[in-house]
Amino acid sequence: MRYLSLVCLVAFLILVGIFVGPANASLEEAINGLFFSGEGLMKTIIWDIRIPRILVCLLVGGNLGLAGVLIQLSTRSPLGDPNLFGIGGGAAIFLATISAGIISVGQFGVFLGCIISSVIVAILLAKLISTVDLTPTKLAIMGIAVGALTITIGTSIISHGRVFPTQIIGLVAGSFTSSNWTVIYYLLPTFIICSLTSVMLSHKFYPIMLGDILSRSLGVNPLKTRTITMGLVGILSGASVYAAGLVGFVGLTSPHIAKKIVGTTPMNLIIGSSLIGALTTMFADQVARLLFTPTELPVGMVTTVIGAPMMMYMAAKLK
Amino acid sequence: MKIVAENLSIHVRGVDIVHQVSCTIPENSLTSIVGPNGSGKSTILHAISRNIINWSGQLTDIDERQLCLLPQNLDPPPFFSILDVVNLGFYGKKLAKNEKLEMTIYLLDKCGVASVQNRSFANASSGEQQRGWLAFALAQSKDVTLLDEPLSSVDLPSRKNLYQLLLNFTRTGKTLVVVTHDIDMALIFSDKIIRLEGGIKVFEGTTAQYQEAYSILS
Repeated sequence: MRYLSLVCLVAFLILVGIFVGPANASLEEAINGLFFSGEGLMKTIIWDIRIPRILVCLLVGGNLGLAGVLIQLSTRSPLGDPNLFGIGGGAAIFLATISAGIISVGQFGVFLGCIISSVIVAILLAKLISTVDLTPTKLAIMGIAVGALTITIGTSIISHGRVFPTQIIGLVAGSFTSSNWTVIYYLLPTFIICSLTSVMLSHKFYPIMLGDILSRSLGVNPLKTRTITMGLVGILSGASVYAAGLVGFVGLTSPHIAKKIVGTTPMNLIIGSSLIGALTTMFADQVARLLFTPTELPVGMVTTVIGAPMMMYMAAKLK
Repeated sequence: MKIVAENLSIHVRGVDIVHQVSCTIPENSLTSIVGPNGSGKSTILHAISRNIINWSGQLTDIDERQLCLLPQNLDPPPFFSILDVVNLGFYGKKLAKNEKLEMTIYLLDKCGVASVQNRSFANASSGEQQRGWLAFALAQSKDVTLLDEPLSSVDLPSRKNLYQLLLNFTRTGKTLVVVTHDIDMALIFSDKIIRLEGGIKVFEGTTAQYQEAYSILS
């Protein structure tokens, strides 16, 4: 029932995404474009701009929600976020070198490069936090330090090569304007593979939530599980940065909203957080797109305006 | 399973905590380790379970899967109830779901937290949390169980029952080591007492010998 209401909300936002936009089409024109053949402009707008954008939004949101809940479950820290912790920053560095013209590869090369560089940062972070006494505070400090480092490297590279401001904003503040079908072909299998792996791993998060010492006595090696999980987080956030740049706070807030709606077992959190991630990203993109239409806000700005106060509230409540 | 330490010295972050300790923890028994604060009691437990690896001397190697260490001051796990935690003690065991639940409820009752089993673990009182952790450790039913001040917040009348529960547990063929400041309980229920002072073993023997050595009137 709760999942159903989430799905309904997503469906509503999809309809908004299809039928409302700066092209100012009437409902009739939009329906014509959606369902009937023809060479009309509306058909192109709907099938090559609006629908791909909606799907990329959903997939990126799902990726981020899943990545966030995986960090939070595997580290027991309620403050995990892939982009805040520099894991998405790895991919951003790679994209920066491409924008600056330092390296040049094809579409698939860009996608693969993003994933690899994010996985490298994720594994590095996993090694950094592989101490016996990992506390939420320690993780947050390590993560934010790594995050700051990746952003600095990324922006240095960008300022080295002369890049257009819109490209920079798209990268560091997130944007769905360049969504197209190719992105979806890359993102969809990534999300499916990662979410299935996470669901298969989910039972291992029960012992891990008791802490490393007790987890080991229950036969689950916390370091190994955490490293595998971080690898998944790397793939997910690398793919999301490839598609939309750095969209902050979705990974951080989605698990907490999911907790309130679908309960607290790892399996529910994994599914719920992915759905909530997709939902909030869709919502944020509709706001970004329509608030000052035809001018667009960066979507990362919207998620941050919503997410940052939530994080402050949670930090204040943290023991 | 018997645990033997010979000339065991343990260093933590460059500080010597335990010096040249030799002792034997017999199998199927309850051994209490006592001594003042900072004498190295907990450190020895962490060395036996290999959470600390900077040690020298000889120490019985115990398979990770046969051992459970319950450290002191555990962080309450987020969003689990007391029942969830105890039920997790059966994690990985080849038992049906309802069998696990049945045994969990039995243990919750034995440890005196059946009435609050659905309370969130983090919101339970520290005594209730300790009872929950104890039930969790017993659920695992490992050959060797190491408990670090497991009952320090539990009220006195229940403490007696729980020690009796621990003693019964060893009689099913389990080795139990309890670090405690509760000498009274240790004298009633232990098979053996080891006393540490400043990282050095100063006593090892039966409860009767301990009473004689420290002239405690019983």
